Amino acid sequence: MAIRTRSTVDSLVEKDRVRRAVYTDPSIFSLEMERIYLGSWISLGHESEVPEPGDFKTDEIAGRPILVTRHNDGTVHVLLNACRHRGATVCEIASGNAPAFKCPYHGWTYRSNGELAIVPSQEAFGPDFDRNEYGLRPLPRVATYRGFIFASFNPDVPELEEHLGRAAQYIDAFVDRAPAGKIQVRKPLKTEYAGNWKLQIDNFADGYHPPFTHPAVFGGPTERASRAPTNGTEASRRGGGTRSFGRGHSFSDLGRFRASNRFPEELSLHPSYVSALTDRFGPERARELALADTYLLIYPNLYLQTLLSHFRLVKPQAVDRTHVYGYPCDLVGAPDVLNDELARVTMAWTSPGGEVQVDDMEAFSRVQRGLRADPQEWVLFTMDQNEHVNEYGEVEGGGMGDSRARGSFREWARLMAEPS
Amino acid sequence: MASPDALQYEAEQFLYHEAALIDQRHYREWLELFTEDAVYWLPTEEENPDTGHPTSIIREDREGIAKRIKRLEHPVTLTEVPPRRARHFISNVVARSLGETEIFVTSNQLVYSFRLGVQVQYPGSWEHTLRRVGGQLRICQKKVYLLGNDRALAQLPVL
Repeated sequence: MAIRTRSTVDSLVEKDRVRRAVYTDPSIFSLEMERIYLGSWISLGHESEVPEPGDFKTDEIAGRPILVTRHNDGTVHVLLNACRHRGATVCEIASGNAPAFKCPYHGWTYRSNGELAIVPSQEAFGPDFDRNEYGLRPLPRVATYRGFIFASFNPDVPELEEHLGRAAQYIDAFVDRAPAGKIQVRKPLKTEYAGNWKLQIDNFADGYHPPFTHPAVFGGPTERASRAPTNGTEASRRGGGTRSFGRGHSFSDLGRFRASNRFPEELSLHPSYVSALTDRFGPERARELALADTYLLIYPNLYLQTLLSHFRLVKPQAVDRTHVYGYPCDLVGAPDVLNDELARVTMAWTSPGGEVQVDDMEAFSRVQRGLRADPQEWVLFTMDQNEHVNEYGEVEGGGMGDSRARGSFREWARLMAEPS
Repeated sequence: MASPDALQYEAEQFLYHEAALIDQRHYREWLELFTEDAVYWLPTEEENPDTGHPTSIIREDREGIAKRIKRLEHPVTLTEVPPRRARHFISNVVARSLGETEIFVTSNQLVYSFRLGVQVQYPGSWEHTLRRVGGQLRICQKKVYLLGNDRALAQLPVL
């Protein structure tokens, strides 16, 4: 299917429903990689993954190999992991520390800021050869926010802070929960499922599925009444609900309705932890941060779950294959007993040997199979239509989260029709 | 103390018995093999990450294993309907005594797991620390180093 124009995008996505081909058509997936993953800001994790000079990790955006490094001067670099000579990757290790990156093929050697330091037999390249012209290519745009690393292949994306907009305040809250004002990630849990990447994105916003998909963990449908407010006006009044910020970002705040069955409240309110937060923020904000149960999506690939202090990265591999990495985040300055339990619960949620993500992955693979039945049929996002637009132009909704999914697809349609 | 041959035989028979309980989905009997202070551990690293803050695919105590079994046996757990079928193959067993009551057993295992038309293989190194409790061997630590435990994985069978 060729979708090069606004009208073809409009035939795929309406305001509250999406053609099933959007999840199953390889040509649409290719265009998503070009327009969304190479066209917008993409999250590459957190700089605490590379805390010391010489630290590095390898990564990918839309199948393009990338090297994230910390240089001697403390700066973080995001480079193409491809030798400038014949193109081999210069590093194939997931993470570590190295003084330099030496291409295994002909020995071209690069510093951790990408500079080309050594070319064996350089004189054979002639007198005009200039090593300065052949450093590892940096991505056109790189920026961090509260330690979260973002990069873009598109030089024309707006500034990162403009891209994040008011969604940034919930990244602030995620990090401010650490008494020292910073987080330290642990190594990620890595899962793979046989489904389209957007199934995970939709699921991040989906408050409808838990009793059906995760009955053993959260209780079945009869055991759990819907206690969250079901429309935007009520959500605003009662302090819960969902918000879509534009550019596909959105969040849910469920703290007052079901925090207690996610994580033990007495541990979230560990006295020395709350006391440390109170010193920085005062008692009211300290308690609010300690119990914050918000779920933030930074479109298209970063999800922050505040109460359990973890974030996830979505990594599309093919139209029907996706990786999701879950990163436990230590709250620096919080007691070990709290950080260890946060990490333990995050493992249980996000691990391939755990009890939550595995059920979601099963649902995703079943959806992916079922969507093939009729690509012209619709996927429905029609719940909870009682929304309103607040003073910032954000869509406030309530209930189960379709309002958020509709917001993500507005951004999907914008990016697919108008690159950048 | 048992002779080396007897120790080897006992360790091998124990591993076969444990594997059969898992493969036949007799999870409650499997749970009974663990001591009260047991640890069941699948690291995400190639080598022993005993220091620092390791992230693990699984790291749980006996209570955690019991919770895992409760989920597996729940009538509508998505990943178990229809059930997964698995078979453990065990080789390269080496057993040595750790003092009077414990035996450290390393083995190579290969688990074939089949569900919904897809068969997946999970090879790796298994380490069991077994303790003699009331005349019976019990597991006080079980550690599984899967090959490729640092890559993205679909849902794992019970290993």
